[in-house]
Amino acid sequence: MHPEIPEGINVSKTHPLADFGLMLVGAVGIVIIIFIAAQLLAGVLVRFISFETETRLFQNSSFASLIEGTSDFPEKTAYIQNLADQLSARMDLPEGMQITAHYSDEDVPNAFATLGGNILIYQGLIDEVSSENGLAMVVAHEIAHIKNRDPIMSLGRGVVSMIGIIALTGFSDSSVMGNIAGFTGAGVLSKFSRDQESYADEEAVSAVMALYGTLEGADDFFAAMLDESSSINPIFFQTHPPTQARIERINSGSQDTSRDRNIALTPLPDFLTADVAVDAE
Amino acid sequence: MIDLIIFLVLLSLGYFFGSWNEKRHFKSIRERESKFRPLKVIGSRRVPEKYTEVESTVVGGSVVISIDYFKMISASLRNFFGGRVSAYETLVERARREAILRMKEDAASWGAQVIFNQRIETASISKGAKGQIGAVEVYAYGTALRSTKSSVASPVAV
Repeated sequence: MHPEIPEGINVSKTHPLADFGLMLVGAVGIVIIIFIAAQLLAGVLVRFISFETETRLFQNSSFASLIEGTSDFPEKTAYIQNLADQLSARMDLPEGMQITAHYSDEDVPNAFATLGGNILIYQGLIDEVSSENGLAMVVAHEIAHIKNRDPIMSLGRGVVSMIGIIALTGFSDSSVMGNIAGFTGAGVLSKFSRDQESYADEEAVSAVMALYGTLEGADDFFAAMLDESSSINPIFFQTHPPTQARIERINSGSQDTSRDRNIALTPLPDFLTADVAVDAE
Repeated sequence: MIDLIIFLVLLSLGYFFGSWNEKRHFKSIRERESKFRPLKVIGSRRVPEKYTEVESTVVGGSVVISIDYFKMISASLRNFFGGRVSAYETLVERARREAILRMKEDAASWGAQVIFNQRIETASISKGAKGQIGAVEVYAYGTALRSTKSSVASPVAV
């Protein structure tokens, strides 16, 4: 009769979950380290790109198409430009930095800042605020992004991250590593993005305070967004801080609320809130 | 985010079904191995002279076992770090033992007393192609001998 074969001599004794967990932690750790290093590197390198170069980059890039056709509304654009100029005068912009405002009649409740000092405000956002103070908060927020060079920084981070992911997945044919790099990288990027947003909010709060002497009504837009938002994404993957936290930041900026309340809100001009069709005539 | 949830669900389903199946399979392998232990399997090609008045036939058993989703991901990560692919070790072990058992079952049903010249062939089903199911085939075969005298019975009754 055959002797009994001893069990388990051909198989590792490590528990499969422990084995997997260790590798997963290692992989995520490597990706986080690579991404953070890449982001910091991108942040340093961006300082060597002057604002003039950035503007030139913008004109020759696909980003320019973002603001195409937004010049059809001269009155509204001039109003937003004027608001942006008043705010940027109080925001201590570096020498040579120009803010160019654009307007779009699309019904998107959003605004953004992009390369070359360009900011775009959508009609959908204007519809969400009830006073100029609320609009100014958003405009100032976008100007703060420009001031902090966030658009070019994000572009640089995007490029560096892409190289990082390709490098990680390139030398191993495992798509799993690519997915881990994708997920973790998105998390790291959104952390950087949330920091940028918080910082821009802070600067916007002080600019609005300097212009109007009150923060009343500044949280209009965020309050409106709070009612609508129902994101299932955990904070880890979000590019913006929680809306509630942003409102609280604005509220905590106004210390002397009794004095604030005595200052009337600046209304939005009629042509801005009027129906788009009227404006186009 | 949805992708991540789907991935985690697949991963845990793969782990639970995979390890449940594996445990069950190993239990069955151990039981049948002890049952077929009296039937000797010998690697040598030469049949000793004491086996006279025997007839022979080829016996074989093959098995194909697939990996589960968890093993696939785990092995894929191992692919990055290097080292023992423990996720696959149990897979190949199961396939090998199962194939030998099936060969023994085949031989026992024929009334074999002993199996000589036992060999194992292994084949990977997907050959590493991407997006394919990872599965391993093991084929065990050998030459079974049985006595032509009716007085000598097979060591394992089937």
